[in-house]
Amino acid sequence: MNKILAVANVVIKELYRRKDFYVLFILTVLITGLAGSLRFFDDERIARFLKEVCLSLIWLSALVVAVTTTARQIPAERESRTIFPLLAKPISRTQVLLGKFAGCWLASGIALLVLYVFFAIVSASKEHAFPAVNYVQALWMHWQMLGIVIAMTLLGSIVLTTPAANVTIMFVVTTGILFVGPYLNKVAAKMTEPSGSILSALYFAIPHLEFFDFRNRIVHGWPPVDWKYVGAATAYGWAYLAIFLLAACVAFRRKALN
Amino acid sequence: MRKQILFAAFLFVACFSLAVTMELWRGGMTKDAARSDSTLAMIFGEGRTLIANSFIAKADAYFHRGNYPSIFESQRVEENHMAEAADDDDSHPEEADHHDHSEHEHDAEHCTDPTHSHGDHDHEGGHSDANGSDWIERFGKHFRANKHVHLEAGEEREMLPWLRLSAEVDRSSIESYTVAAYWLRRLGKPEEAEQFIRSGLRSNPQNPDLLNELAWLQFESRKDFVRARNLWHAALRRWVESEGMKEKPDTTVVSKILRGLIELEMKEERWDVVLKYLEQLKVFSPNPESVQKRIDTVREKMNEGR
Amino acid sequence: MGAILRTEKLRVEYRSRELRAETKLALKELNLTVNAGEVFGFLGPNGAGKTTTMNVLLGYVNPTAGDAFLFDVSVKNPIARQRIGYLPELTYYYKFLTAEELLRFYARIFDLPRSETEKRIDQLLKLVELEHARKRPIRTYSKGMQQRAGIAQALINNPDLLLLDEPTSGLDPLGRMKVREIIQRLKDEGKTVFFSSHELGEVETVCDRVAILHNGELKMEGRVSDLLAQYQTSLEQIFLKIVGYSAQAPA
Ligand SMILES: Nc1ncnc2c1ncn2[C@@H]1O[C@H](COP(=O)(O)OP(=O)(O)O)[C@@H](O)[C@H]1O
Ligand SMILES: [Mg+2]
Repeated sequence: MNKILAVANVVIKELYRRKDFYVLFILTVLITGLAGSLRFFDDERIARFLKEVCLSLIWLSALVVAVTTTARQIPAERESRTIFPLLAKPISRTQVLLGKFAGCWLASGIALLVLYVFFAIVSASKEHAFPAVNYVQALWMHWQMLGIVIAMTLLGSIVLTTPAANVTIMFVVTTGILFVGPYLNKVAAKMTEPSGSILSALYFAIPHLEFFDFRNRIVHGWPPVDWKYVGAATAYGWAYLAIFLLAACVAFRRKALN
Repeated sequence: MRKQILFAAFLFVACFSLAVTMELWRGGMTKDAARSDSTLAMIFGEGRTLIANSFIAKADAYFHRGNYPSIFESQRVEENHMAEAADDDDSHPEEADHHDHSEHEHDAEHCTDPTHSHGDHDHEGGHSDANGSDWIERFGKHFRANKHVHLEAGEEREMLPWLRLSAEVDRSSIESYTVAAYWLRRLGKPEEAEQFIRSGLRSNPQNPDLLNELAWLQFESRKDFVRARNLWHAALRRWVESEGMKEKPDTTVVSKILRGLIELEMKEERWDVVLKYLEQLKVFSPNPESVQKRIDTVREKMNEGR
Repeated sequence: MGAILRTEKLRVEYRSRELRAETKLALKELNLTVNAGEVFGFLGPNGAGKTTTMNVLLGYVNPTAGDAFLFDVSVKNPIARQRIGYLPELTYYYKFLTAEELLRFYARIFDLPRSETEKRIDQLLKLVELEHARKRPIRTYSKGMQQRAGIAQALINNPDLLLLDEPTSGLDPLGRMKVREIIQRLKDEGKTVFFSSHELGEVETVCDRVAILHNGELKMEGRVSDLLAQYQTSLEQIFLKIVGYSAQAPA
């Protein structure tokens, strides 16, 4: 465990020493500020548009941070050859991988926290409300979703040849699942046979990331979800997370390193 | 850093192309695939319209506090509306829907109109799809905003930015102007409403729909019946010029104009004129029986008055 | 004490994934023995199979045939690597960490206690002369400094056996001398050092024994003093002869 945390620690250090996150955060703030400066029909009280813009930027930034950070971990270790002195020490490949995962997940959790605090400030400045439970739920669910994406990206970084391909595929897969994932069954029902069944199998196989998307609830001020459903969704997410991590470990153990 | 910006840009492009393909795909489902031969030209040509429409859809989603059927779920709704707006060249459910909402208030007749029942939107019940829903769908419902509610008590203002943006993107998006003006009026902002319609009229001179909305503004907010009547007459003339010759004219606008005129003349108690407009409305209405009922009540009223 | 490092008929073939690509024979029946307390020079031109041998010893590459042992434990067993330190060739360490943090990270992997860690870090940074730069990110280091940071990380667990893969390659004469000094000091401390090189000069001065590898085959093995006496010429000449360059003229 200590070894895993040691690896994770390096990942987190990397994130806050690189400028990527700061750039994204500043971009988020700037664009939110820009959107906030727009006046619509001289009505000061319009808030949801700004909330939506800010939250969407947060989703984008968090996804970019999580995917790009994760995608470069293992390839960078191999390219700079640091994987060799590391593995020459009493640490297994599985531990390295788990450490990388923990680091990326924690790092994006920290990034998320910063982003959500910013959102809470923006929202409070407009609506003079602070629905803490909603925020906690949204943050938690968002983080779990990033966990799945990170595990998936980690697997991709071992199986796929280049980080760029990995990042591209992960973005497409993640946004694809978020946008069309929930409706694949409906599309499948309209299709002719072989493809209909394939699509419907896909529908049941993919991790349904849209469960974890609380943007609408936050923007439109819906009441908090019953915690038991949050718990169930978390368990659901962790199941996928575990599957992806396991696959990544197996792939990494088999991987020739030089 | 540069890489990151690239990725962000990439993501944006990906989302956009996804939206385009979905829109295309949906076009292929509802209309004939006749237009798809020049897909590329279409993507560029209709890009603006596409964005504008997605903003209008966003506004409608806001009206329902985030509970909004996706395009995959809206097929059935669309089919319903298809019947009444067969040749409407942009017959998206969300737009038809906005007519509904604005018209709910405009006249009471509408509430009894079966084709506009709220059942269209109710995706709570199992009837949203015939095959029954699976556990993923059922589980997902716990997280979605899934009660059919509307914004109220001034919260309607939250829709306005999206309408404004859609008009900004596509100046020929009449929908954006009329719906925004309608709600601005409701929210007690007739000045902003008028300004907005006029900016729409500058890009779409003499558009009957916009003239109609302006007339409503004069009629309801300003109580300037004379100007309202003039505007409606102008709108009617414009409609006849642009649509009257067509084989299948767009009847939604003319219905709206006639409803306005009917309401105005009822206030003025010019019953014979009311009757004339009602007879015209009967021709266009998808539900002529209810119009006939109104004709009968007006006739009775005229008889009593005599 | 017996052999600390031993290979038995070690054979490594690299199989290409692509079809029809021939397998590359990197090591042929390699037998090596390194005894406790000696500095062993593993010589060979580029592509001889030195790194491949290291990779087998560290378990990155599985031998096609034969076996290798560290402390009499087969390298297939990860326990074999507890007491070794390894300096890979051409490694760029985590550039965003400082030397101190790098060493602390590796110490954590060895489960060293905190106080012990800090003591060792101080010692090592002094040994490799990086004290002045300990709080600077590695990104700002020169090549020689990076290499010395690498040596420090190889020593973090106070290993009994050091595997150094071309520790002096790419360094300027001063850098090379410093590395040689460090190796000498390690030898004085009684450590076993197994290092590969194609720089002959340094080998003569620090090594007890050498092996010369060419195209995956062991061409010669012995004490430096014996070889020099036997051939009556410099180690460089012996080396060149073995790799096929006769002293008179290239073919
Ligand atoms: N992953 C690999 N796949 C195929 N051939 C390899 C691989 N790694 C090394 N080789 C080949 O094996 C031989 C020995 O390489 P190496 O051990 O790196 O030599 P060196 O003595 O320079 O360290 C070389 O001919 C090299 O081309
Ligand atoms: Mg080598």
